[in-house]
Amino acid sequence: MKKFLVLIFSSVSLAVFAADNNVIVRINTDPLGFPPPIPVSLTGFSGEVDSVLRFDLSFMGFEFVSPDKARYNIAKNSAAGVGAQITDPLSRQGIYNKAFTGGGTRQQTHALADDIAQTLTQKPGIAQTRIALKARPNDYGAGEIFIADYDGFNAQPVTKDNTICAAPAWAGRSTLLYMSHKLSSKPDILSHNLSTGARKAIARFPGMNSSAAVSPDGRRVAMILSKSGSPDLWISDLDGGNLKQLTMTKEDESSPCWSPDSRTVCFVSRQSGKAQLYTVSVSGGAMQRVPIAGVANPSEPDWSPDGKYIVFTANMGGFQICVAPMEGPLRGTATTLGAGEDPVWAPNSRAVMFVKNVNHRHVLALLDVPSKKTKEISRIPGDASQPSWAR
Amino acid sequence: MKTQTLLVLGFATALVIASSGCKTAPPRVSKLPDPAMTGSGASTSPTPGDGAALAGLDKSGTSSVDGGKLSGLSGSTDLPNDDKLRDRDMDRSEFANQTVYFEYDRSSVQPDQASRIDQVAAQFKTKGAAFDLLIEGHCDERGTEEYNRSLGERRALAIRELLIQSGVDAGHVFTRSFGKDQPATVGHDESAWSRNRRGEFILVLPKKIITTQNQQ
Repeated sequence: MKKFLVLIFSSVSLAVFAADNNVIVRINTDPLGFPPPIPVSLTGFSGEVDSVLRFDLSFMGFEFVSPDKARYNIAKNSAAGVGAQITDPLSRQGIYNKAFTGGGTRQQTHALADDIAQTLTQKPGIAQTRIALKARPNDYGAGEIFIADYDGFNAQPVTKDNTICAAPAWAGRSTLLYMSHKLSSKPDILSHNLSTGARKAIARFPGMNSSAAVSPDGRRVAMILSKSGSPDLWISDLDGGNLKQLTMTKEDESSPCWSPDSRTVCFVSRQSGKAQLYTVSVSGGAMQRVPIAGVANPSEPDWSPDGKYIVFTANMGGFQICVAPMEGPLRGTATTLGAGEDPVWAPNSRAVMFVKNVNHRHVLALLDVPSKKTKEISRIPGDASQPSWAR
Repeated sequence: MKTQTLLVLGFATALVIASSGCKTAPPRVSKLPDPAMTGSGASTSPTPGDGAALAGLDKSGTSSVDGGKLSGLSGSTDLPNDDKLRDRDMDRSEFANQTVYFEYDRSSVQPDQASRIDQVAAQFKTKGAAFDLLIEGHCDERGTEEYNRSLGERRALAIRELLIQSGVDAGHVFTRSFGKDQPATVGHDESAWSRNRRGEFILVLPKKIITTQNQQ
C-alpha cells in the first residue's frame, strides 16, 4: 500500500484538501503542464462587479464552484468601494481582507481581481493590462490603431491617418510601434509616444517596412524590411539605429517574435517553399527550423513570456489557434485550441488574445489555454484584428 | 485504509499549522488614481492626420548592414529610394490589362503570366526617363495579415525581377504591398480569391512642373 502511494505522489501533482470532513483530491493531468484552475466561490457580489470579477478571474487560473467545493471562499466585504474577504475553508481562517476605492467601479474591480490573483497564485494579474489593435470601420481598406483595456473597454484611437495602419507592437507601456502608409503611401514603421502624441519613423526604407516586434528587454525591434530585394528579418535599436540583417533568403519572412531573454527571434519564412517557423540568434548565424508536428502552415507566432510555449496560427483550410512547447522532448508538437488567427500571449503566459472570424467579420476574443474556453470582446468598433498585449 | 487516513490527517494538520496566526482584521483599503490623471495618451495626443505635421519625420538613422553580400533576387539589388514617387500622379489604366495573377500561397510568376510582364516592359521602355513603374502586390484573404503583407511584397518583387531581366532599369521600378487589405473582388470563394492574388502595374507620371487647371 505504501509503495503504491509513493508511486502516485512521484508521478502526478496532487492537491489534497478537506472541507467538512470530505476529502477532495485533484490530480493535475493537463497535457500542456498548466496548473489546474483553482476552484473558488464568489458570494455577495452583484451586477457589474460580479461579472467583471468572474471575467477577470476566469483568465487568471480560477473556476467557480459552490462554497462547499471551493478551495477558497471569496465574499464581498463591508468596506467602501469594491472589496473582498477570502477565507480558507480548511483552516477556517481569513487570509485576505481588502478593498479598492477611487477611480471607477470597473477599475476597482480589476484592481481587486489582480490582487486576488496575486495573493492566491503568487503570479501578477492581467486585469489591469492593455492591448493595442487594428480596427477597420468596414471590412477592407483603411485601418487605424486603437488601444483598449484587455477586456475591450475604454477603446481609444491612436491614429487618424485615413490610410492603412496595422501591426501595432508595444514598446513598454507608453510607446507603440506600428506600420502606417501615411508617410510614403506604403508600409513604414512608426514609433508613437502615447503620452505626448509625438511620433517618428524608425524604419522608412525603400520597399516594405512592417511586422515590428519589440524585445522583452525593451531595447530592440525586430521587423521585416524588403529594402535589400526580398522581405527579410532585420533588427535595430528602438530608435532605428544599429540596423542589422538577420536573414538573407530569396523568399519572404514575416511576423517575428522574441524569446523572453531577448536573444532569439522566432519568425516565419517561406524559404523552403511553404510557411515554416524558424529561430535565429540576434548575434547572427544560420536560421534554425522549428519543426512543428501535427499541424501545417504556421504563421504569426508569439512566444510566451515564461519561454515555455509558442502560440501561432495554422492555416489548414481555415485558421486554427495552436500552441506548442518551445522546450523539452515535445518541442514543436502542436495542440489545436480552436478556430481563430493571430494569437498573442497575456503577460501571465496562460491567457491568449486572438482574432475570431464571425461571418467574415473579425472580432477579438480571449482564450484560456488549458481549458480552451473563450470569450469574445465585443466593444471594439468595427472589424478588429492584430492584437498586441502590453507587458 | 489506515495509511490513507493518516496521510490526509497529516496534510490537514500541516495546512492548519501553516495558516494559523491569521487573525480577522479590518479591510485594508487602497485608493486608486483618478482615471483622468493616468494620461492614457490618445486623448492628449495631437490628431496626427495632417501631412504637414509629419513632414519633419526623417528617415531612420544609420544603417550599417552586418553580414555578407545579399544573395537575394537579381544579385545585390537594393530597392531604389521611393521618395521619388512623392506627389506624383499615378495612371492605373495604362497597364490595367496586364495584371499578373498568382497561384495560392505562391510568389513565382507562372509561364502563362510572363508574357504580360514582357508587354509591360516593352511598353514602359518607350516612355521617357521621367516615368517610373510601381508594382502593387496583393493576396487573397486566406493568409494571416503579416504573412500576406510579406507575400504581397514578394510577389511584386518577383514581377520586378522579370521586368529587370527584360531590360527595364531597376532604378525605375518600385514595389508596394497591400497584403489582403485591398482585394479586387470582395468574395469568399475561388472566383474572388483568384482575382485577388495579383500584381498590378501602375505608371507613375512625371513630376508636374506647371499646373494647367487654372488656364483658360
